[in-house]
Amino acid sequence: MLNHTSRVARFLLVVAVASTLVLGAYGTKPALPAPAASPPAPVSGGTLTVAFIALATHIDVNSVNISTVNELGHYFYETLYDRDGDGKVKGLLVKEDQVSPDGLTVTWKLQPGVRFHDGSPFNAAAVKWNFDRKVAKRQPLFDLLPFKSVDVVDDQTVKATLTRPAPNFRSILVTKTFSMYSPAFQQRVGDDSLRQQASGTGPFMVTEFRPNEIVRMKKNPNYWQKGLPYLDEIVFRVVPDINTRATMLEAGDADMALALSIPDLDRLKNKRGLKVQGALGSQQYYVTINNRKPPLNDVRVRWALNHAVDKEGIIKTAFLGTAKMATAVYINSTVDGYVPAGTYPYDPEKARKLLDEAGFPMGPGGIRQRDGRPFSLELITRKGGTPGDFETAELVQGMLRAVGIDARLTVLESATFIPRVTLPPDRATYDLVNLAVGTFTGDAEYTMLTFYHSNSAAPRYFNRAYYSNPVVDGLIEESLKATTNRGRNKIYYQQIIKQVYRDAPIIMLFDVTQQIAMKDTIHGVYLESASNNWPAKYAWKEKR
Amino acid sequence: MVVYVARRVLASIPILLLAVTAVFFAFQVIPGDPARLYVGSDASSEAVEQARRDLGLDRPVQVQYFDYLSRLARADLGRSMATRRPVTRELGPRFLNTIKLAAAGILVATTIGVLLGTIAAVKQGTVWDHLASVVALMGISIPVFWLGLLLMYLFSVQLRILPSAGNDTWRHYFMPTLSLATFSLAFIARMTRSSLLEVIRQDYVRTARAKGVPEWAVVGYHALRNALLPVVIIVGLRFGYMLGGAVVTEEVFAWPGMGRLLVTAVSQRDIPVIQGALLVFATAFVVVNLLVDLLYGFLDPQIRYR
Repeated sequence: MLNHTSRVARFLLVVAVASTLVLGAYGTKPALPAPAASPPAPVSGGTLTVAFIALATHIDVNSVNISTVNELGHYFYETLYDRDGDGKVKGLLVKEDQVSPDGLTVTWKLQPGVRFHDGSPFNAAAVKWNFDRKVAKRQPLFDLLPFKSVDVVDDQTVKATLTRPAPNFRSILVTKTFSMYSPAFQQRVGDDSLRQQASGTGPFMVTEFRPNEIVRMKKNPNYWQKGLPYLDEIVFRVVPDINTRATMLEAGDADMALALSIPDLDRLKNKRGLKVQGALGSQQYYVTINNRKPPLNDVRVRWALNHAVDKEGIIKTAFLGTAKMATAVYINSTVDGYVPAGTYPYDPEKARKLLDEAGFPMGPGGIRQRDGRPFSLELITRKGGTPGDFETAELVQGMLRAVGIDARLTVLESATFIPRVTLPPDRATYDLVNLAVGTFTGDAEYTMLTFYHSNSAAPRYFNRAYYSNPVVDGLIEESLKATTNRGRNKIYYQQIIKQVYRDAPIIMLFDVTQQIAMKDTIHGVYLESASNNWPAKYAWKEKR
Repeated sequence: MVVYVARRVLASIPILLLAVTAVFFAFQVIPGDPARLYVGSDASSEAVEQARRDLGLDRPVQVQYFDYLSRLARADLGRSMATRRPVTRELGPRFLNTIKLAAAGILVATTIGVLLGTIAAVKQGTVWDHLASVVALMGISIPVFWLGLLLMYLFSVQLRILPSAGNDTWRHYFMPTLSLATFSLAFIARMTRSSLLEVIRQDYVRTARAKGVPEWAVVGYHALRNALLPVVIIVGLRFGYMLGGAVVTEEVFAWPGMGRLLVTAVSQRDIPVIQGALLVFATAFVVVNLLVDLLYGFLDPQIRYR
């Protein structure tokens, strides 16, 4: 009773002092020492409740490439390969693989004794069925793999024939949109039902799914990796409000909360009984520049835009220091093939000089002009599409204004934003678009083929800058003949990444540290850096 | 009365038809590609085109519209583009959850609102009247999301006596109900007060007092019964709004109701679900209004339906 009384008193004090502030934002306890570095040995049992973000509309992970859906897929589906906490690719459903010297044939030996949740065997026929279905249905990323055919050699052996060498195929096959479904289950329930039901080989089995409400999974008692998983049950509760997710964690109603605001994460890391785990993911924030549209087709203007933006300043103010300056266009050190190229350091004087050279002298009201017309650009952004996106756009707007560019902000909701910035080059009217990208294959070939090459211009792929450099195109095409990642990276990617940097197709911003908040009794969770997902399949709950 | 009800029901059909037609064509015009949203922003154009074919969005607009109408005539609301489940299956449990929350909300709002309004009227000009007015003013002024977070902070984080979000047990009802009821409660309290003040000065109330009827009976039986007539309309309207307007409460408390369903459907351009939800909202509003009209007649014998 006394305890409750003092809690009420404290609450009233907080309300009195901070009635106009966002609730609880500053109601933290003093900073506490970090929890012990080495937790006790894993124990089995318990339920993990996760406060999850909205848009868990279905669980058909192969039909989409959406991070919220793929995050769920980790638990009940498995892929041929997986990525560990260090970002290394390793076999999962593949026990061993062999690549022919010319790189055109891949032979997989599958893990023996694996069964789908419906009891049917995971074998070579199932692998072939899954790949054939992916291609026939034109499901996302089917075209990243240059597979001519996938054939059954024997019950446990599969041979894939490629149209060209693809030394990065393992990275692509880690992606959750290449999950292995049970053919027997699909034939029994049909495609539409796969959006609500799942039969994979994963450590958990879906027992309840209500779209955008709850996903309940129980331990797979016949899981092929003996001793795993540790937890008896995982429950994902969809909680659309970002503040409520944080409150659920504080109230003890959730063990883990995803996609919290940066100020909340900063606050929760000092709360007793909670911890915030962070790691660099592949996600990069940037501002696309429409390279076809004058005067943005002038590289001096694009350099000026890059030098005008104080990336460190944005990191400190909007991201509370939890991001790192980008050092290459679209990619970072979590991506195979990455090399650092440069950062375009903040130098407003240099930006002003470059704009003078490009024919934009300062005009009245501090806005530059050419032929009597002010230098005005439209900057399109979302608000809450990714954490801190709107704040970033506002800061960029102010920094451009400081060098004499009148950037007008257009804020669009997601459903409107994507079609507005996914147009053929001749129909795209935008100047600047505030965006983020994650290289979820963890391999730079994805960036080469879907961002750098001139054939990747939107809407086909994601080259929304309409960047085009024949030298880069030629090098990318040559790189596709390489039979090893190391050779490919050294001979081609180094040159390409540095050339793209010099061409400055975008305003480079920063790489984001992915963060997740949880109770300090939860262990074994790591960031799968490429996908920016947090698999808790090896998680366990400490009993205190 | 049966003829009156039948006429009202028939008259609502064109309204409902107009509503679904407006929504259908509005979503043809406003930006947002359902096929792109279906496969995700990182999918190639080929995957998007395949999704467009799968969803039947490659057909001419008029074909899609008449297909929708013909299915509607057979009580088939189609399938959700996002989940591929029948829309009726999406709406059913969500609407039930919203009705439960709205019913709890209106019950609390009416009970406390009438009580507060009555105290304020009977004790006019006293500290009780001022206190009731302050409570009513606060109820109207406090944003629902802020009140929701405030309640959560007190009851879930600090006191740890109520669950913060969800709808699994009866304990989950407290905070969303209070949060949803507050605005309506204030509204009802103010309406009850002004209506009761008007009635309390009537001759028949004075007569009752002169006859020696106890004060509680004068207020509770003679005055309040007549004063509640305009309040009934407000309660009915507020209930109608709660059915369709609990979006913020549902978002804050992760309550799986119609409001949340509609917000998600709009963000995904899931047109069949949007149309279905709107149809349900419109129907519920028509039904609630009809019930209020009927109740009005029951309370006031002077009103006759033709």
